[in-house]
Amino acid sequence: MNLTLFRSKHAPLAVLLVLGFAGFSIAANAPWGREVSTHRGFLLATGWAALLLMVIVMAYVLRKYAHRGGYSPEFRRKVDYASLEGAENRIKRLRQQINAGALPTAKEIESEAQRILREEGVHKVNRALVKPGPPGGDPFIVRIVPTEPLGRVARWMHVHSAYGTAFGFLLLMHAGTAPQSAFGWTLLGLGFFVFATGILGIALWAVGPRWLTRREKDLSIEEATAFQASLGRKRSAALESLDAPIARRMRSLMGRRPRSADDVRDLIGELTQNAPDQVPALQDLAALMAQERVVASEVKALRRVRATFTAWKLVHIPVAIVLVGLVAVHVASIWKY
Amino acid sequence: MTSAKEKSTLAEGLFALPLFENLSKKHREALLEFVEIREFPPGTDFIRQGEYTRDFFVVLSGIVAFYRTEKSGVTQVLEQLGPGKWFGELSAISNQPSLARAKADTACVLAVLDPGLFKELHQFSKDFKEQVDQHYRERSLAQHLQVVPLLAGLSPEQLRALRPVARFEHHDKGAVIAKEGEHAEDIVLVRAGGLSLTRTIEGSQRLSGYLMANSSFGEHAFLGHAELWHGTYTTLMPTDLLVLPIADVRKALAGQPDMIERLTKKATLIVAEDSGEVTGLYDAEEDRASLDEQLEIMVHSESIKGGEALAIDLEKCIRCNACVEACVSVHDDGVPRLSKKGNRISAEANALGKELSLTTSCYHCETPGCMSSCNYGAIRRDSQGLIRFVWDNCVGCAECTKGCPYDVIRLTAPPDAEAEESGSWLENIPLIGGLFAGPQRPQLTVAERGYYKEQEVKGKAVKCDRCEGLPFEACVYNCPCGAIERVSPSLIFDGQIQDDGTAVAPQQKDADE
Ligand code: SF4
Ligand code: SF4
Ligand code: SF4
Repeated sequence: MNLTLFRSKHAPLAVLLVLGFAGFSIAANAPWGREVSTHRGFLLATGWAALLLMVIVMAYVLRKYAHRGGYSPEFRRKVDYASLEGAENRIKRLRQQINAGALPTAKEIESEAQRILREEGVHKVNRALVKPGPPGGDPFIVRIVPTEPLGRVARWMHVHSAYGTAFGFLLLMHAGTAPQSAFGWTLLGLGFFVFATGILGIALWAVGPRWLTRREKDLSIEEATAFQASLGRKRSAALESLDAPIARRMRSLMGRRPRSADDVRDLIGELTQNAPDQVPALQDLAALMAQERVVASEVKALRRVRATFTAWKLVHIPVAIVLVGLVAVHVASIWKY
Repeated sequence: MTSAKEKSTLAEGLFALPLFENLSKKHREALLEFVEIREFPPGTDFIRQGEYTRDFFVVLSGIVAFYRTEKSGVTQVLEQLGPGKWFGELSAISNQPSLARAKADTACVLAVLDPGLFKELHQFSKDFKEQVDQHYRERSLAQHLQVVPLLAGLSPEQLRALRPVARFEHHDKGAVIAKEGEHAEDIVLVRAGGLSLTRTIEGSQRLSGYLMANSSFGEHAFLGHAELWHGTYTTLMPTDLLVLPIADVRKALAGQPDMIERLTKKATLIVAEDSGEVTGLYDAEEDRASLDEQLEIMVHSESIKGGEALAIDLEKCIRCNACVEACVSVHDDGVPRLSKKGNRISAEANALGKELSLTTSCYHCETPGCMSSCNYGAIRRDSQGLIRFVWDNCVGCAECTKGCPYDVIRLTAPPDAEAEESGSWLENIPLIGGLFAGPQRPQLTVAERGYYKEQEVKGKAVKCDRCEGLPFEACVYNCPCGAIERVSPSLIFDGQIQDDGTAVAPQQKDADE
């Protein structure tokens, strides 16, 4: 099971946040939702906190799509190859100096490596990692790694799922279990959908990969698709090698749905009598077609399995977009009135 | 789908054969499920000499004959096999190319076991393994011994004389086969599986290399009694070895002083080559396989994979494809350099204990097939050890795509000036437009290209460039699960012997935070 989401530091923070508000509700004897006049503080606090969480949660989406579209500011940092190579050459010399004992502490090495990267103009792209070497080996290991300025999406995902879950609870505390208006019900209903599908996504995240790996033990979808394409190419080549009239008959057989292995066998039987020289090629073709059928059905099955694993997003994403829109309307109307 | 009746007829035929008669119930079921029955009309050549087929064949009916064509051009029939006999074990076990052409002398029906099924039976069915190994010893072993550099060039009779002295050994993962500093008394050929070689350098154990199927070691022991192992050989996975005790080899060749002298000379050369004193031993030896053949053997046995690989932890990967999409997003030609179709490594076979897939992106090989096949000087290794394309020289001839054994090079359309100028409309917004500029494209115009500018540019070869110049590797950076990582083979196969002494890649730690 993949438990990285639960092990992230954001998971306990989100739990603490929710427990804090639950404690607030108990301590202030504030019921969830309603009671604007008597428990205004609780209502406002949960509302603003939920809004803040929603913005944090959406940042993940923004970061993901900005990067995918090539609009992320990190792209502006791109450096040319000559600078990278220049820096690497100087770092190599630095390693020799370290081995000769010229720089005895990790701190000195790191600042020297950073200076080189800066001078070569690649410090925004690469950074130096310095670690003590293994006993008996080089005194220090200097690795040049990408700076990854915005952090990996994996970390943003931890934030998204932890605070997204917390958002669900805060929304409930803010709106209560029985909102007094249709608008309130809509917000709560949509929130519930987003929350429930998100939880489903988290669950699939945890158990899905292992399950998929077992299912794809022999053939992954990528392999199966490549295999299918290569069989298709071989089949076309085998068809080309047949005499034209026989190739025509084969094409029409292949176009028939459902295709039958018996038809091919019958054709081979007939040709064994009339055109024995075509039989080996035809047998190859029949074998290829049989293989193709098996692979095609496997691809279909694997696609179905993967689709099952992504179906939750079909609800989660559009409903989340509507929810964000309605929350914006809600906040604007509260602001105004 | 095989019908129940066909299945029971097939089962009757198969299980009546001595090779399969003692299979367990589980293996019988697997055999019935996965065996493929192929029919060949008389006269069909179904395996070429030198072909890399990894299937194992059992003759159910008919006669299969084997023809071997020697370098002199003379073709001879090696043998004929009838019902109940089998062949293909050499290729199935050790990835060796077929030694002869197989032809159906009469109409034949063959049962074909794919490598997976064969491996399962060979590994877990004692009786099957014994029969196959016995057969291998009688028929194929002498040929297989030619893979050992020291023995290549011995005559078939001399090789056959070594058969009785060869010992089969199977070891589980982690077994120490030879220990540095101890007396070396055997020549060892790896039939299947793999070993790591570690040496003591300045007081600490350092990984020096891997020996995969068809690699051999211990040739230096032929030089005399005082020879010691120069390193420690440890199995990385369940491994099959063929061990030739030197004393017995000498005994088998007793009475042939010329041959002993020749082998001693060869062993001296091999030791000298290993230590870097001389090179070109293999070129000088006319009886070695051609470089291409050697490369193919090595590539098939994956013994030359040298650089860093992109590994996907399959127990984290949700198959969302974000990595491939991210790769597309940083390359303007829209061609991903990453394909998730890769080699699977089971959790038992690697030191990280994770179910891994090595994606097909460039391995930056130690012996890059792409580089040797490019006639335009468009591929070179840079100072960071990475294999790079020099686009100015690339004419899109596609030779490198054939040279790369891992199928990681793609050809894109020739650069088109108009496309290079076009960008997002957002880039035109005054002042802030620059923020929206996408990644830079390689600037390549025919007029600016160097030495080969006369050549027509048919396309441009592309492969993983590790997102050159950008502050991230897009696939790793954008994976929402932290499932894809750049790792070195030493980390995958032996976590303890990383350069920086850690068992987990530093980047991975970052992602797991
Ligand atoms: S392109 Fe292929 S052959 Fe060339 S270095 Fe990369 S993996 Fe090796
Ligand atoms: S490192 Fe960059 S170029 Fe290479 S596969 Fe990943 S995204 Fe593509
Ligand atoms: S982005 Fe990560 S989780 Fe998605 S397919 Fe690639 S490796 Fe797997």
